Amino acid sequence: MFDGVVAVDGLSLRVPEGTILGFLGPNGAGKTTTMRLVLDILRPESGRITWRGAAITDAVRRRFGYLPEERGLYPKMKVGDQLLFFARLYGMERPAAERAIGAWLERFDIAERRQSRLEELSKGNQQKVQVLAALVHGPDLALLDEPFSGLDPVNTEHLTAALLELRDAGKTVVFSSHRLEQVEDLCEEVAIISHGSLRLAGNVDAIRDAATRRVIDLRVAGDAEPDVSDLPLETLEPGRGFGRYALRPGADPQAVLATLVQRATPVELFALERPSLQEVFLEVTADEHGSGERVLAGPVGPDRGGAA
Amino acid sequence: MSAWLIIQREFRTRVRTKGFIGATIIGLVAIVALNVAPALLESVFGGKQITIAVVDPGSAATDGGEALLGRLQAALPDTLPNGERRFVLIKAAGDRASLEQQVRAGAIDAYLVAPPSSPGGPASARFEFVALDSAGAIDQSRLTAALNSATVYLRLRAQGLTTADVQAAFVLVQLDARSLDAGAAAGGVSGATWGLTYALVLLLYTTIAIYGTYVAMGVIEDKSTRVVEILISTTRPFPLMVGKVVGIGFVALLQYAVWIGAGLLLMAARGSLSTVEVGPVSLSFTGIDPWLLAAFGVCFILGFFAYAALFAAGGSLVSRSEDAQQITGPLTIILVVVFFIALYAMEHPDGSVTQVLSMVPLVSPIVMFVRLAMGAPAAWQVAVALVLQVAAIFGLLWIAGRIFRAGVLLYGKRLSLSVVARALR
Repeated sequence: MFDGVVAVDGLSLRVPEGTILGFLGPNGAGKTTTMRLVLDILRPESGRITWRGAAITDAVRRRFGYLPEERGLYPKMKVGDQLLFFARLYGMERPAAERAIGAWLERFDIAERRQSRLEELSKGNQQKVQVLAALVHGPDLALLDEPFSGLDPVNTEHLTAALLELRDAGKTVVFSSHRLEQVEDLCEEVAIISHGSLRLAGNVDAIRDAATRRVIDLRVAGDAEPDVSDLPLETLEPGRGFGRYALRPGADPQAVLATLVQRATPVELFALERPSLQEVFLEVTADEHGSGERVLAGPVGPDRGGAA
Repeated sequence: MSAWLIIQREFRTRVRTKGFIGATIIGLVAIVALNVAPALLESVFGGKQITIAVVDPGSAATDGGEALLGRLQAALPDTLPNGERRFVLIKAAGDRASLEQQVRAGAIDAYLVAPPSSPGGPASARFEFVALDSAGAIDQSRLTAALNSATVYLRLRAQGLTTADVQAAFVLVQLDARSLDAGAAAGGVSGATWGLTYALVLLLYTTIAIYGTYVAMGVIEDKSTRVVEILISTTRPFPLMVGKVVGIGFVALLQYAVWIGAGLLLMAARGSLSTVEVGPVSLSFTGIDPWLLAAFGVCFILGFFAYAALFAAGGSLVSRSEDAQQITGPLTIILVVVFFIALYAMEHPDGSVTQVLSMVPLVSPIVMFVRLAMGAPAAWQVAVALVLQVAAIFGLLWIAGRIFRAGVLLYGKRLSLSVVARALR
């Protein structure tokens, strides 16, 4: 399909039902392609996509909700009419759809724009309408491609709350984002893909725990840069008086500390930490950034009874 | 279900656009103007009574009371809207100078000088007509014809013929033509049928050219706005295409319903419902078979949907509205070719070439109607045409859906033939 380029290859991913999955990966990793495959917009040359263990039928797919990365709305259509059209395409009856649209517009503070044409709205407000088009029917599986892009902090909160509510109602949410702190806050599950294949998936805490390499936070008295030469450390954040380092696999943190003390380093803080999601992400996708090393990658997360 | 949603969306959003409302209003204004303008022009420019003084030096000598003036008046029987005579002919009083004076003063509008006559009739046939604006007073070919008929009558009377003889001599011939060869143009086709056929061909042609383009643009719009990703994940391509074509078709039908309704209302108001003016063509509704009108409707709908499906397939090949022309151009050429085939068929409604073409999908809606109106197609031929055309509509919609499906994510690119071929497998 893409002029001979394989966009997604050998990707195997299970999403536990009733969770929020953060779908991460560098630009062009295949996140959008994967979502389109699930939605039958694209068709895989080989492989299977299942929902609750069975092939996805039209009826099942109508219980999905999709937010495309690029704007996918009619510019000249009124906001209310537009949402009604999509809600009904997703199989809602008119009266229920009208009620749901009113409530959602209210919730996202754009009830007064219901009669406006989409093109009259600001970019942020258009993104809100796009979000509502994907969520208004209360989908069993919401596939949201960069849903937070263009939203201000207030609306980011609105959307976060809405996604948590969906999850609490037993629905499944898969969303992609580049803001990893947000993913860390919102998701219990993440999947990181790169070059079209899965690098890491599972529970966020488990992933951070399972990282084969630990991170060491080191603070020393004064503002000298600690001497870490010849130690099994890789500098993550260098700094005067404080440094953050990745411990090489197999290295003993006690030995590192002993060496530092031996060198008369005035250690004030020596903490063995789990890497942040950001660090895991950078490690896992390291081949895209040049180093080719993948030392942090732990085992793929626990496989709970799942979906998609 | 989803097809119905798409139909509703297409219909509602399009009917509300300024473009649709504007075009419908302009059309209405044109229809009202065409209906009212002739009467209006008549009352402004043609409502005046024209008084013409006639100088006839020969009358006293030649006739026994049957003067030129009387015959001329009989040949100009026009009346004004108020029922009075339009042309009033009076005996001239005074010489030329005095008559000219009277014209300038407005006492009379014009004067007419007949040549002196001999007992055998007017020696010379040269008449003289003088008015302030000689062309504005009376149409000159009209006046010449009236003078001819009056003068010839008087000459024949002068030869001793009775009034009845003269009237018998003036009876015009009528030609009743009839063809024995079925392939030849049927002599019995009335002007009204010819006009109705021609009107359908034109109506179908313009409707398809305009609304077909809308269908193509509508399909492209889904792709250029990227709505297609949501549509395709909730709806199969076939109902999607059906929704587009039927929704936009309803818009076209609504527009024509408004125009035709307004035209019929106006004609009813003028009490001339039996005649319809369609541009230069004048049709009479009286005496037209209602079955033929039903056939008109069926052919119109079958033709529209087939071409709309073709335009939908074309629109599926491109993803930007700037490229629409590349698609609508070639399709319009197909339409022009069919238009010329229809003109040929009107000359040879039951010729062997026409018989074959009348069953070919895309050609049949127009050509079979021509044959139904002017010729005598066999029932099986009508059935074959109908079945093939309906099959073609569904086939084209299916193909359009497949192409649309294949082109969904090739944004900004034209589909290559190999991709299209793969999509159709």
